[in-house]
Amino acid sequence: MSTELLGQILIVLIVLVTIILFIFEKFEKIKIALTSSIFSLLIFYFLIFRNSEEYLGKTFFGATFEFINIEAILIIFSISIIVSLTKRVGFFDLISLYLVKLTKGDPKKLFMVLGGITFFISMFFDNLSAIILLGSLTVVICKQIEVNPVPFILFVGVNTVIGGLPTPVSSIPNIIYASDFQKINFIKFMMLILPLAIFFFGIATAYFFLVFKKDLLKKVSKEKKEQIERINPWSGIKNKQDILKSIGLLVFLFGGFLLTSWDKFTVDVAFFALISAVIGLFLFRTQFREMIEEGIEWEMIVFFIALFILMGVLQASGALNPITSLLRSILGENAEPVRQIIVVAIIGSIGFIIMGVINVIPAAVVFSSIYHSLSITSIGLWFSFLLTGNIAGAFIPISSATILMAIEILKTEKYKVDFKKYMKNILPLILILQVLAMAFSLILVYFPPKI
Amino acid sequence: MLDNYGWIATIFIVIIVLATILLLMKEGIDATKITVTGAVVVALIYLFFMDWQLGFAENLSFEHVPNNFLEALSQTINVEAILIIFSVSIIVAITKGAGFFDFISLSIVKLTKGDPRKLMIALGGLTFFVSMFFDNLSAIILLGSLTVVICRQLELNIRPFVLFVGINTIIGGLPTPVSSLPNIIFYNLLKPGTLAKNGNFVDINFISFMGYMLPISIFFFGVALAFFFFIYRKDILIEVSDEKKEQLSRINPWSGVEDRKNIWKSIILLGTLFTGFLLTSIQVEATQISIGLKGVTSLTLADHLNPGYNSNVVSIFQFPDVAFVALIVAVFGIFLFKKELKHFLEEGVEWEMIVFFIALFILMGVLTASGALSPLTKIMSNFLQAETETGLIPIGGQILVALIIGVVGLPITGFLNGSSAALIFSYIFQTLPRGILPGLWIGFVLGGNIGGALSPLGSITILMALEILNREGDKMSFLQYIIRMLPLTLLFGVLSVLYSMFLIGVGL
Repeated sequence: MSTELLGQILIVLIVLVTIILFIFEKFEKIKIALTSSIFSLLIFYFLIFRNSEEYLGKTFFGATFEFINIEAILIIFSISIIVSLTKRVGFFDLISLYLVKLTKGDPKKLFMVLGGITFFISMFFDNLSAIILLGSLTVVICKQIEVNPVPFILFVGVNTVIGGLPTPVSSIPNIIYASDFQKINFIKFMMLILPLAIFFFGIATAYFFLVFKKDLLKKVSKEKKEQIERINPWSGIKNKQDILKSIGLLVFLFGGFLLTSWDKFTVDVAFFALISAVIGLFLFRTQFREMIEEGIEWEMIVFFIALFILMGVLQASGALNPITSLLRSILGENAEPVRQIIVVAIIGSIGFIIMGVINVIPAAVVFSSIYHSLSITSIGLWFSFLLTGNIAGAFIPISSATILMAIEILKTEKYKVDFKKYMKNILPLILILQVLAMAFSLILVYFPPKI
Repeated sequence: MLDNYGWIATIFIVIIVLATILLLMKEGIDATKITVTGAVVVALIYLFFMDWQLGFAENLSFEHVPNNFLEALSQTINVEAILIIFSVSIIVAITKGAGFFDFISLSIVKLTKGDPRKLMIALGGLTFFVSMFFDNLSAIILLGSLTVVICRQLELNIRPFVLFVGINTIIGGLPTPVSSLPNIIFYNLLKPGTLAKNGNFVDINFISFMGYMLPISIFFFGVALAFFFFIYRKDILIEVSDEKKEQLSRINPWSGVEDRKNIWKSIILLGTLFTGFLLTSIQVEATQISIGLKGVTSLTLADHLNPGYNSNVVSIFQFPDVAFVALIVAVFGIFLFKKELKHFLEEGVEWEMIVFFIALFILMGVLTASGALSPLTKIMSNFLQAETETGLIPIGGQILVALIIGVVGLPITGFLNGSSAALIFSYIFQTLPRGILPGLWIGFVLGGNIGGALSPLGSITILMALEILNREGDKMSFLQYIIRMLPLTLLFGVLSVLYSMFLIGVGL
């Protein structure tokens, strides 16, 4: 047996063990990720790197450093500073409370508003912040008007996933996929996906009204309604100026993101996010130390770096070659639309299940490198990877951290949503969305937009 | 974009770097924020007003410049250095949590039986030892408070002891490639194939680095000790009452240790770490053979001067790399002590320092890429032109450069900070002609470390030592420190230059 083959087998084994350990959640995830990435690096070095001519003249660290997606890390770093700056001054609470007040305690309106805010927040920021911000607010409001929080929280959870679609930075799978496919700019990405995401929001709303009609069409007593109307959104705000600063910062950030689409503007999304974060630190006169200690999820960043290395080694070892060469042989030389459809179908079905089971974030790293090694520029095909990579996050309760958190929130409120109940209530919706997403990808395969 | 006006951009970049450095000198400033801002601004100027791809290729000698600016920029970050800081801080946090350092310190202090002279040697030696293995900051944190407590108990003047501990963090930072931040930077930024002895290329590995640096640092320890005994003789050469001595002998080193097994585990962990570090030196030769390349050590300068010579051959596979060993040992430690990694990521790792260093790498990387250092390197390169017949760089020229680095470098390090200086020196060194003697490089390393003792601005550990004194009511101003310690730091500077010259002179 050649040392290279031995290396491939060992690395695949490590990746499988890692994924299994992730699923069982018995050990600390970050510890597993770091340990297995170290093992994979050792195997990579001794069995592959040293013997391969491909790496001649490269240093080991130089070669492995290329596995890390710097842009993704920088975006996560910068956005978490900006979120933390604006969250601390109460900007999101103000907006949420304000909108909730507008619903006047009507469950239907409240339902739409909570879902809409979640969509909006996870469109700009990471999905996890959205569920943390909205989850507890939703529970409090539902208790106040005495409605069952289950559909509300689940809707918020599903909307973190849908709201993760519209922009290249709106969810971690998007960040990973988008930095791998740089031919599409921010505005074009949004113009294609934002309408789709809004459409998905409509479908999800209709679906929830159908499935949970008893809870949502409930009448609320006048007394309870009045309580909602008495909410003062400004109560938690220390300094009104901070709210203006928050708006300024977010507008600047988003304006810059849009500006990156202009090809004369050589700054890219990740760099612009960093610039905005630094400006934010000055604007709010905040010490960097505070942000580094409280605002940034270092654990998550280390986790991603470990994951990038593990998956980078997996790809570099050639262990993914069977999969990519299978897909490439399906695509053939010219990758005619008919052939692309088969690949879209495979990714949309088998890929969907795999991504959902192993959790969408590790999956995004693997699948984006699979897409990368197909070396094909097809926007429809790429979107089938990206959309599946997002929607699979709501496949089963452990597919993404946000759905998991939504269920945890319900659990602490003594509402149990077990695996069976989740699958019965939510899976049909997710499957509908997935089918629609694949249909959308197919349209793009046949009618590729100019990019 | 604006090729002809590139030099204006260079001037702006220099101004911003200088402004950043000046601001860093101010006390109580948010160093990370300033450095990150400086890095972002110079990166933007560089991106918009200069031919960035050309700059990376010419001034930083990148072999392949990535098409993406961020990726190119990220290559100025020395990952090994960051990884060493990350891993070692986890290891320090683990062993500190187990009470290992307190245990060792208390045991040794107990052995001194309250004799101020012995105590001085013991505290200084401990500091030297701790900062030899770990970063200097941990050393001053660990030893600083212990020193104060013991001096109070024996009713001794704390100033000489605290200052000696401070100076020893710097001397103890010399011996190994990982013992101080400047060393980490110098060691990792030294490109393979830069140095040569007798016309043969040599590489500096962990053991050979120690071979050059350990003797001189032990010598420096002796010099510092003699200096302190002399100028603080009234405070040190006194007798302590028996009563006080007894108090000291009643110390129980085990009192702070929760589980005795943890001490053993700490010893195993540190032993593994150090053995791993030593092993990195041995593996180089083996891997060279295994990849079937002509060993770098057997390449002669003549090969190098040959136009057909492929410079890629010089970048050898060094494994396990020092940084990688540190990471492996850190994860091993997490398992050995059955700790949650999360806990150490939140509390053990100095993320602020890591962000600061990443920004500093970018700041200095852009400064170099913009061509701002090229006048400096041109001057030095002039002295280091190889003689055409032999292909060797004249000894006299190297000695002259060693002298320049000593005279100019020391004050720069003393008032900048050690790490920025180390970065600038390393970049200068990278652009010097190939085939320089290791002795000259050692001169750079010594200059980048020793300067730190000149003023509190030069080194965070000295700053902390002064803060400890201030907190204890024994105020010492920056200027007082500089004047009081000037003879010692000047002596160190002269000795460093002489040592470097000596090495060059004997062809090492």
